[in-house]
Amino acid sequence: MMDSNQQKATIEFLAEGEEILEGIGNNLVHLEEGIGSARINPEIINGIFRGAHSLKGLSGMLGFTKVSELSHNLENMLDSLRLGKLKLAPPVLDCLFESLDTLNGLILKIGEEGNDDLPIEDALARIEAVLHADTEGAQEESLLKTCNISPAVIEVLTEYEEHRLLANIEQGDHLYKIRISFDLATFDQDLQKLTAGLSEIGEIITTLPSTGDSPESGIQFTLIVGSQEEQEKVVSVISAFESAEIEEINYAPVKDSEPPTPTETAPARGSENFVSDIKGLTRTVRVDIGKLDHLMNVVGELIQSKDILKANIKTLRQAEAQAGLANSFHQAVEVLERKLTELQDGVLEVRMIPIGQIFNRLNRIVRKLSHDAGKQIRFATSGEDTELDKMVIEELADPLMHIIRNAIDHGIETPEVRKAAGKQAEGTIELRAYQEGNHVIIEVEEDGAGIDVKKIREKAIEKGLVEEDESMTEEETLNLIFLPGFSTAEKVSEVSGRGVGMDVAKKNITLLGGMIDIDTEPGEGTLFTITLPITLAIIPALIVQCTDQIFAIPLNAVTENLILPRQSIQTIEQREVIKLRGRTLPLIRLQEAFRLPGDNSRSMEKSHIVVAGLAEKKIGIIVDDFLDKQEIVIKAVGRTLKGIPGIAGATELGDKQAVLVLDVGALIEEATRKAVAE
Amino acid sequence: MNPCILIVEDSSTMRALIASTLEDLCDCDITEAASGFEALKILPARQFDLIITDINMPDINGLELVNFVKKHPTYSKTPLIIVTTEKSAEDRKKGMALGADTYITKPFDAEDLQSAVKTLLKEASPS
Repeated sequence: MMDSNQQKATIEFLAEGEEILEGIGNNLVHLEEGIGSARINPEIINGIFRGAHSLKGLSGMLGFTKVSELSHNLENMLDSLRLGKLKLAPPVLDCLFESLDTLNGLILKIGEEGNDDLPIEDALARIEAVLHADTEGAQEESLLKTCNISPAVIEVLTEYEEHRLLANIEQGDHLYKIRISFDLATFDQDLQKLTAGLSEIGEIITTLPSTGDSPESGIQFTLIVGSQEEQEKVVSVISAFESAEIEEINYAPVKDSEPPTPTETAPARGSENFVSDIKGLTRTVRVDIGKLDHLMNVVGELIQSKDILKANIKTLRQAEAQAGLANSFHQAVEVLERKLTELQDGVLEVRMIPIGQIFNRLNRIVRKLSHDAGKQIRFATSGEDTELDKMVIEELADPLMHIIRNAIDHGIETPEVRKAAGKQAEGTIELRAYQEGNHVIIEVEEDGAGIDVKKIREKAIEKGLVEEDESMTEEETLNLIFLPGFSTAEKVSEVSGRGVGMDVAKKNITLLGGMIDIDTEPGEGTLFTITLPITLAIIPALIVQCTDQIFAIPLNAVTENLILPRQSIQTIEQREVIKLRGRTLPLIRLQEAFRLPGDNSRSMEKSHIVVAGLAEKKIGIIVDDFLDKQEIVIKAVGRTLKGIPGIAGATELGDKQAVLVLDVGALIEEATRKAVAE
Repeated sequence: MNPCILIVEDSSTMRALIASTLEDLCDCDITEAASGFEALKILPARQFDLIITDINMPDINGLELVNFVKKHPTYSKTPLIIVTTEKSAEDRKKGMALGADTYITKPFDAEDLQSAVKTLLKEASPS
């Protein structure tokens, strides 16, 4: 039995564990980019080490033995790596990536089932193999004695810092000792400024605080910096600080080691090689998304109360005797409204995170899968900074993963096939994100073989999904790949550990209020375009009436409202349409789509039409009346309504009336499918 | 007066674990620092009865913090516990040489930490 402390700690552990693994993943990608160059920022490897180290400590405390054992072994390997006992080579990097995947799987298991009961023997064996293959003895101790650093400094260096000091000596770099005093009140900013400047020209090996001359008001730091630069250059960086003193540390030249030849092994150490990684005081707080959801609901309810107030003021204004009172209420509500909007924007902003977080995860998957499939694939991303609601991003990870998996399995050809087709051996998958109005567009484009529409059709007929004589446009045929049961090659994905088919990918995206489109060119490649609303939390909606039911339509899907005489509706091939600015707009009647009882809207003199659509696809939805525009909070619907196409969720209006929210994407599909069926 | 304890540790989960272990022991005021650097910033703000620190941290490491505290005229008497994994044996030895009062290895046993804290707090205030 877990006590509540332990349970709380496990939740924290999962959040921190995920963060650590995310960080390790990012660092591994950086490491891979730098593997060819002679100098890799040591802080990258040290960062990965620290991650494994923390994970081991945490999992050990909480009794997750598999995570603990694996991270312990990983930590050993990384320790050898950061202390220079193990060389960074591609097999080592592969082993790191694989260990990370295994750890991700373990953490996922803990999150889902509360235990980390998965086999880790393979991962452990790989680490073992790497460690045995290549471990150099370190002959460092003696070297340290040759440099004139005072024992007082040496004795506060951690093992790792000692190693970095020696690594700098081996590289034949200059070593400088910098002593500097700061005011106690402002030392944090000053030190940060100094270390940022120094990181650009070299490596800070240690930052040693001491009491200095006036312990009450000041603090002194001794920094040891390794750099290829001459002293003047370092002086120019520290000269901004009055109290700084610099001294070069001498050491005996390293015997039987060649001085580095600048042309091949030692690229100029510049800011691009040594990205300064100075972490200041922690300024971020981790917040449980559930708490934010709750805040969002509160804001939503406040907004509804405000709407009620507004409606009441309207009534009050009509009573002339109360005009003064009404005015003062009105002013108060105006302020309330402005502040509520601010609050709402604030909460929304907190929920927004850059999509780059999943891009990094996908990067690793492409790497692994293309390796497994024997394909050469370049993975390029852009728009990592594009922000989306955290919930949307989380729900998006699986569909994106599946689309990319498909692109690797079925899209990109093997190098031989590509060469034979006159293409480059290396295929490209591009992942792009950008914002367009209230939507975020995500595109996955690959330069593979393209989707063979004929084959899709054959397969669909074979599976009984379409009739042999059914006529379909190319687009409609392509969309068949999203039907449940279309794919045969569907197996449980090794990467995510969950079986996700194209149909599920599409369903997830639709549930987020998004749409997915395919564009393919035989021999040239395929483009998947996903259009998503930026947030799901609070959205403006159009409130409409149909028979005696009220519905809400998300305003971001509405382009215009029309009131037209009945006669302007035409029937073409048994489908009702209108001509709108030269284009034919298909119509659906909400009453018929949901089989609502009541007087038929066909008999009305004037038709109320909501023109709705996402991206290029549009339809007209015929309702009985337009009522209002309101901000709504979409809530999930109960079991009975779940799975009815066309319903995205439910919401409560200001008067506590529950209404259904339409899923425009699904309605459009329904309309097009009907058209095909008829 | 409740004892004031400073926990310096870069993992927030570990900080929370240490804090809850201490709270199970006695009523105490706990201040948390996520790095050695943050600890330097916090130290002058109040008088601590005990400092608990990790070694392996970005920026100012635990050894540097121990050295600073133990050489500082104001803080040198403050008891200090190092909490690290057994991997850092070398570093821990150095920490003890620099004047740390005791150490605990991670994963730690709640009772071990509690008894170390109890002893050090008692020694510091002989009443």
